[in-house]
Amino acid sequence: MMNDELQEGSAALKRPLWSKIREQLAPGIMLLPFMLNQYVLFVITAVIVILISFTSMDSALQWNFNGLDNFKRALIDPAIGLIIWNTVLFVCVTMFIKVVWGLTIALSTTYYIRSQRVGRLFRMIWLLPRVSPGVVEALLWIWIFSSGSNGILNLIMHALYGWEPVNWLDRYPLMINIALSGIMGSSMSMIIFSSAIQSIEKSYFYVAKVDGASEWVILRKLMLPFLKWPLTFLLVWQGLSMFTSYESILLLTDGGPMNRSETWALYAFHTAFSTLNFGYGSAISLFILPVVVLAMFISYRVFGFKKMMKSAQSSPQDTERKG
Amino acid sequence: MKKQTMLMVMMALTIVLSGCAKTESTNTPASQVSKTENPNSAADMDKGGVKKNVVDTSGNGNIETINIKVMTPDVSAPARANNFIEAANSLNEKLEKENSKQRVQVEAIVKSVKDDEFKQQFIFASKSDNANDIYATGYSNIGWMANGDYLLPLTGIEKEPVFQNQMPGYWDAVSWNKQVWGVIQDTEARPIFFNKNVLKKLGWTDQQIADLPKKSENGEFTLADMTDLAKKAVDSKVVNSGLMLTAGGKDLPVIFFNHGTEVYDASQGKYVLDKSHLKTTFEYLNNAVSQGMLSKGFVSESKDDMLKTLINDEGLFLQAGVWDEAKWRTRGMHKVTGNVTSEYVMNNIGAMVMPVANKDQKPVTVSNPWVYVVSKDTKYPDLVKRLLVEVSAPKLQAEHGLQSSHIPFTKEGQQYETVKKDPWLNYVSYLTQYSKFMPNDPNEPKFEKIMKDATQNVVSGSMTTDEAVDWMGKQMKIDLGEVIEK
Repeated sequence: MMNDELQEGSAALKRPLWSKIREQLAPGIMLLPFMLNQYVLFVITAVIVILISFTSMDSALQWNFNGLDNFKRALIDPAIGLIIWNTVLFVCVTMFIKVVWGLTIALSTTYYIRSQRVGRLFRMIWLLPRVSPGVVEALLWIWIFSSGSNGILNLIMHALYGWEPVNWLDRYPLMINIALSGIMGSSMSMIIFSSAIQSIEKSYFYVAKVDGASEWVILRKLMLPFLKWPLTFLLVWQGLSMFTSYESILLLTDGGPMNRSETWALYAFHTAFSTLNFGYGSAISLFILPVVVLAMFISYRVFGFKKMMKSAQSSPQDTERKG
Repeated sequence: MKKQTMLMVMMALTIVLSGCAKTESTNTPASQVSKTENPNSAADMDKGGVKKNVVDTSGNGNIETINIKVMTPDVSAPARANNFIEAANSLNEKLEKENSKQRVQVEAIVKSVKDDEFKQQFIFASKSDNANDIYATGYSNIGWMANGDYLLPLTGIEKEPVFQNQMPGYWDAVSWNKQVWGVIQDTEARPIFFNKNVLKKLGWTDQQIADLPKKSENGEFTLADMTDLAKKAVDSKVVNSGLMLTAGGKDLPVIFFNHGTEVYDASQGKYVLDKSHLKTTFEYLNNAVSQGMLSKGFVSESKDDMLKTLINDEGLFLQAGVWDEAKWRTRGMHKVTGNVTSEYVMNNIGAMVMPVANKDQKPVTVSNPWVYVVSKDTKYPDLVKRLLVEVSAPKLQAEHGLQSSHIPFTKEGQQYETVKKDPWLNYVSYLTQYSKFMPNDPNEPKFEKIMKDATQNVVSGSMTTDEAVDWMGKQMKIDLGEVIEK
């Protein structure tokens, strides 16, 4: 049996190149746009950004190389301290909301609500922000927190407590941005947690019930251990994307007032495209790179991401052989 | 079946919600405007659109139609682009008399674009050879546009007869590096508006109210007097807002200039860190906020909300632009009547130069004249220059001025019959004699941001006045390079 397989393998190796290409043509064509993006466009863009970061390029778009000036400048920029703090808060608190809120919805709609139909309906409602454009979400939130007397929150606070209009976005800019990103972004974690919970073998729950386990014990000892990998994936995947995302902040408060909701990626964008300082903006954006690499290293080693990737790569045959 | 229904519902929702994000088409079809139609109808205010003049080539098959694109990013003053329709007709008549085989067809594009976005679009369009031929923009963009080699120098155009009686000093606004890079399109000033009804509630007589602009101009009514009066109005609960200052890039500097702050040394081409005057200004603003006359968040508050507050008798003083009168006429800001007439504005709102901080000082305002600049990639520089001359005709200056409450920039424009008859423009045009300009240095947008951020830090309590001055110094050195410290 083993010899036959080896012979088939060596025969495949001896086949002409054209035959091999023809065999892989259909998947190759399908993958081509993505490969073009990942291995050509992305690489070209990255190289250009790196090169620009060593120039004083401004509105004139001229390549005047200035060595490490932009990187040195970032270290003495008085705005940087606040921006680092904002970024850490934004990423950590938003991730916390996304995970806790997503898990809560997933548990409620897949386990505690027994009717699958009702659970699906609730999940669909929570998915709506995913299919609505970010601009619409931001507009709705601006309306809610509008500083005028017609802002929804101001209307409510006036009706309940007689409050004068409050400029919420001016007073709590970062907190409101975190709430928007956290609550609206929790639908992704909800989907992942829901599917993970649904894939847990039902018999485990029956056995736990027969053994007299309480709902709390089932959650803590049965379900949460099964959610370890999805949680790791979410923390790494969404955590990294949070470092580089700024669209919702741009739409809601534009980083203001006084940089109080400015995050690192948004500062890079503003520096490049508002003050037209493309060289310095590119340098700022490159500072994210070591943070991302460090985060990936930690997740790979500390959170056991390596193990998860290995198990995902193993084929059923491998598992069978090991068994 | 259930799955199919769910899928259908999801798809329908996706389509409906995606429709909410419909973006403005960049390829708006142009509407043709015949010679008998008015290219500047009042209904154009605050709306985008593209218009073209009709070129009559009947009877002469050899005529070459030259297409020239003009763009303004300001929909509140559409005549900045639409005036080119009439200018093109006028130029075509001259070309016909000269037996020229060329006729000009202008595509006048009025499109609402924010300042940052406009800069990006301008740069990328220029670099990809897709720039429009002519742009209307604020004069202070000339520095970086010329520095970036995006513009056609227009030196020599100042000799054209139409510009001979231009307001003094205005060629400086379009000059950079010893060249002229644009022509002035209009001018304006940033006065202090006051609500006459509120003053009456505070016991002022009609005569006292009528005399206020003159007293402010000659220094009898000072900044301290205005601040005290604003405090009195708030304390006596006549209004919620005593004093409203706007914080746009050219608005905020007025209060700094008023305290004697120097921002730029034109002879050396460097920005100035005028520590003592900056500190005095910050202290004034901080006191005004702490005493409740000025809102803590004034730097980020909406100007339209402030205009609504004033026209509805809920505020006393507001620093705004003379052109904002047009917004009361067109944007439905009055709670009862919506739009108001110019007569209503004149009866209820007054305007004066910002009262001086020190009695022996000359009043000051800031003007931000709009200008026309020409892309260096235009294929028809001579025709474009001739169009600029045509569009600067007193009649067209007057049409733009009346529509959007801006002031014509030549003597002939200011003395044009319709302008002279307009009560508002007559009332405020004297203010331009006190105009100062922010520098048109390539770094001007960065400096404006630094000044705004520092002010916001002070009034919000994040920094003391000394800390704000130090912070400005550090940021200026980082963003602007070498600065002169005083």
